[in-house]
Amino acid sequence: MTRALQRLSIALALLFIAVGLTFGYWSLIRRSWLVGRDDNPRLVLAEQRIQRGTIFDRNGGILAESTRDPGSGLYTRQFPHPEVASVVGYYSLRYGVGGIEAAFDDLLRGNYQVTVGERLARVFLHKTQVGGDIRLTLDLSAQQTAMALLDGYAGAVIVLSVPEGDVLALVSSPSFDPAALDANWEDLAGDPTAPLLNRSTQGLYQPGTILQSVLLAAGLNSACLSLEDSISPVLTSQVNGLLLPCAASSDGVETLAAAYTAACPAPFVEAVQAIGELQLLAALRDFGLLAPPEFILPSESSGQVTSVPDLALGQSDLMVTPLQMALVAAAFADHGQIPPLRLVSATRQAGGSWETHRPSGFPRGAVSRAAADAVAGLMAQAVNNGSARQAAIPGYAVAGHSGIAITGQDGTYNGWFIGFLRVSEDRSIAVAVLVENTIQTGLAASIGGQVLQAAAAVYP
Amino acid sequence: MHTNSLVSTNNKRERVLLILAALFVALIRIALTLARHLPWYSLWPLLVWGACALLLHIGLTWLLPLRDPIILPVVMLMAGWGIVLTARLAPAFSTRQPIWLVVAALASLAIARLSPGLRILRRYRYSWLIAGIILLAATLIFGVNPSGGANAPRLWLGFGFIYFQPSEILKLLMVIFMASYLADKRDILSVKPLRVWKITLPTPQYIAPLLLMWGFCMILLIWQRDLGTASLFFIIFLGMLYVATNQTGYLLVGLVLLMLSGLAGYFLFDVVRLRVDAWLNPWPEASGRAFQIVQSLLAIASGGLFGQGIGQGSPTYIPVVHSDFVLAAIAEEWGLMGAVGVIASLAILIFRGLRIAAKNVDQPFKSLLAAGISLSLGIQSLLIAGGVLKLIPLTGVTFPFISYGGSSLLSGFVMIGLLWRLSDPATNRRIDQPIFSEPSLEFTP
Amino acid sequence: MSLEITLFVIRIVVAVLLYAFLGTVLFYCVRDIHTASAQAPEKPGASARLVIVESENVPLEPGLSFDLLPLTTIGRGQTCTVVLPDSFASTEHARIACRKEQWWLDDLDSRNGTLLNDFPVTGTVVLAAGDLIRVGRVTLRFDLV
Repeated sequence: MTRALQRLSIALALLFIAVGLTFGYWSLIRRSWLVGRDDNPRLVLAEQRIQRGTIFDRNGGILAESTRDPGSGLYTRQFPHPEVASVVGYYSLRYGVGGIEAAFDDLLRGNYQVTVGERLARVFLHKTQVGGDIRLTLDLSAQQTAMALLDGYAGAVIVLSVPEGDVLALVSSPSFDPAALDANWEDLAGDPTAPLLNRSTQGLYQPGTILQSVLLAAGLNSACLSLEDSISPVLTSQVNGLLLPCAASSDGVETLAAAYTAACPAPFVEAVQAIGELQLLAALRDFGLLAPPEFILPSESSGQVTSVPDLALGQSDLMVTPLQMALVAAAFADHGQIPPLRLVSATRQAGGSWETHRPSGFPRGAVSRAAADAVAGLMAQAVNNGSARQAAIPGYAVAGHSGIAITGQDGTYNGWFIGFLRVSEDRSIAVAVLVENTIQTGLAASIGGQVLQAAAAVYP
Repeated sequence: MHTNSLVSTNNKRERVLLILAALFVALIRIALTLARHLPWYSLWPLLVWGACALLLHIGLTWLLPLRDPIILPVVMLMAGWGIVLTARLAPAFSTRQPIWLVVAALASLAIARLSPGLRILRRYRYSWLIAGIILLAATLIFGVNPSGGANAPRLWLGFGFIYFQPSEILKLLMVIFMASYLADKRDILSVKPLRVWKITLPTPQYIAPLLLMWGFCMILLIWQRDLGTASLFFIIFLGMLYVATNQTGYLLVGLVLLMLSGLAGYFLFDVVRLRVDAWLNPWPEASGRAFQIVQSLLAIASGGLFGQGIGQGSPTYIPVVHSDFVLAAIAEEWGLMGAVGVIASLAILIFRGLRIAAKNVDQPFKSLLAAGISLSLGIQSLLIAGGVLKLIPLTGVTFPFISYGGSSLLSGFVMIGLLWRLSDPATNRRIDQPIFSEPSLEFTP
Repeated sequence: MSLEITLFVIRIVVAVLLYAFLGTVLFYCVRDIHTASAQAPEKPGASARLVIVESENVPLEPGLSFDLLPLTTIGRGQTCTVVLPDSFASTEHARIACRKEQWWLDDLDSRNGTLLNDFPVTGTVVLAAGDLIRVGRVTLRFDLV
């Protein structure tokens, strides 16, 4: 019996040791694999324990912040202004992050380099992880104005300050309420009007006649065209059996300059042939239409262009985003210089001080000063008495150009407007407006004008 | 009373260990209060625990001066940890567990004190066992499940607001019965006149009553779908048979039988198939049928080496964490260090029990009783630890002394009371040793 | 001190306490084995012995051990196997005999009686390792070898 007891003791000892080793296997060796599993409910809890940073607009208005529930000690994300959703994005425990919330996730969560003491305090003391704050270049009131003007339409508005390249407003419509994202996700994702798509940076559109500014500037730059070139009397064009009209009255249009001011498509078909393929492509590249701009939010571009002749009508395989067109407008506002974009003006780590952010990149020359100024002059005329006259604001010198693009076989049109407003000798505000599914040529221009007015009020 | 040095060393050791255990239990309870922002009066179970510890220490010093001094502190450490865990994991039950501790402590002291105890247990073994089986059978008719649930196994008997699990008592009675039977029959069982191929077997008529009693228990348990207890009974049975006869053949045959019944269970019972499937590959079913085991592993992993801290983890994601999965909760909040501490405490208890068995080899009944009790506690904790760790399929048994559950705590303390008795040589002999006559080999009912 | 730090300090203390507890238990277990093996005689042939544990006012060193013969007598008389120079002990005080591989103790109608683990020996009782036998003022421990 003694022998059996000894053997039994040894067997039990081995089993207890095996249990101890298995504990070690799961809690040390397989730890990171298990803890990182998607179905670990602790991940959500850990996320809710983070005091995520605040996002401010340029005037210190709160666009997104996390508030603590005193009972559970957990944080929930508040979005007091749904109008900024296309910039700020969303933060959802179920669907992740979007917009600035995604681009600066590490900073907002507080994942940046912290001291060893701080890291240990988080692990062992369960010290709340406090994230950093972000200040945007966005102006809440300009954004709200633009959003209100686009209400009921699908489209996008971008307002830039020139020459800083600060994004004052960036609107995509229809939009969503990030505070109610979890509840509405299924509807939003299945909505045919794609409210989750950021049209201003990711919506690729046919430029149509809004491309004329670029074409004209390229022609003037290379001296292939002159403003006084006479044109053939056919002013409108047909694309796949659909009419591409002038944006304004075509009475008395006899020169290329007048055709541009009235945004008549046909004269540019001939004009573009005079420019030459390489120079045209170079101009598109210089205006930044062949590549997505350097920007914090994800941006698109249609890439290389193959059917150069069709570019004259802006109905080729070149597609542009409203953001790219806003940069085109900025180039004319700043005498041919495209400013680098800036959306985040400053960040600060928890408990730290604000650090100013430089714009991403440097100003690029898109076109010669002379050519840019010549086109800008015509844009002023277009607002005075041409395609963009609805953009006129009493008391302000607004320049602009509006155009129309055919979007598809079904005969729908998009309205475009690009323009700028000089607020002082060397500073201006540039805008690009896109309104989907409208033949009203003045709508985009009218929105553009009002947005410029609102922006001028906050950006003197 | 004359105290010699051994007695005083004994008491001193028990005192030192009890003080360490008390500090541990008090600190973890205070930490829980701080971490969960509980009111200070919720610390009252500490006073109950302290009173039980003091009562048992003084009572044992008086009744059994030569008892094993390590058992009481180890058991109280685990019971205290269990009270804290109940408050942490199932606050609704946090009042009941300390009350059950008082009941259990008094019961263990009563076992230690009753003078004719062991002889009565041995003499009327069949009556005791049949009483236990009747109680268990009663659950088939009157059984309830305090946690509710239409399909949950109804293993409890309800008396007002008190619920009791008869299988806990039956387990103890089984151990006593087998110790008694095997003590008398072990010589005959060791003789193996039957020879089947290379395995020799004992005469059928001697093993028959044993198999019959065991089979009866098994049928009842399978009927109740309490497979954890059923496998526990079977392994205890095998272990005790091996200790009594020293025949490895029994073990081999038993293990083959276990495998076969496991296979049969897999094809016959959905409960078994579900558990085995969830054990073999839980990951694809992580949010469905294998939810519990995956959550258990997640809890263990999130604890790491040092744990999340008392009251600062999230073990309550595991369903019924307070009874079957306390080990996972310990691993999450106390870390690997805490889990190893619990396993070590329990292992120490088991080895002290086996040591008592080894010291009593001259008296087979006592030796077998001590071995059976140790085996029962050891196998039960290994079954649930293995289940929580995905080493073996999950069986719904509790972890002794730590899991929430009054019946389990009570039967654990009764077993410990018996161990105390068996560990004190003086009391043993005074009560049970026949005067200069050979121990009778037969006590038949 | 903030709550977080208090909790952390408690965690450290708790871990230290748990392992101090387990360490002490282990220490006691090892001590048990040591005392058991220290008491085991190296002499071959002896299967049990008596060790002096206490000997108040009796000229016997605690720790002195006597190997047991199949029949051992304990008492004051010089004819005893184990001679205890103690006036409280009878000439032939008690007897330990080996029968059926068990050691049995009985009191030989001594004046002051024999105590086994503090209980008076009335008949013949079997001995287990570690038992304490008190004869007169001397306490002896019975050890199996």
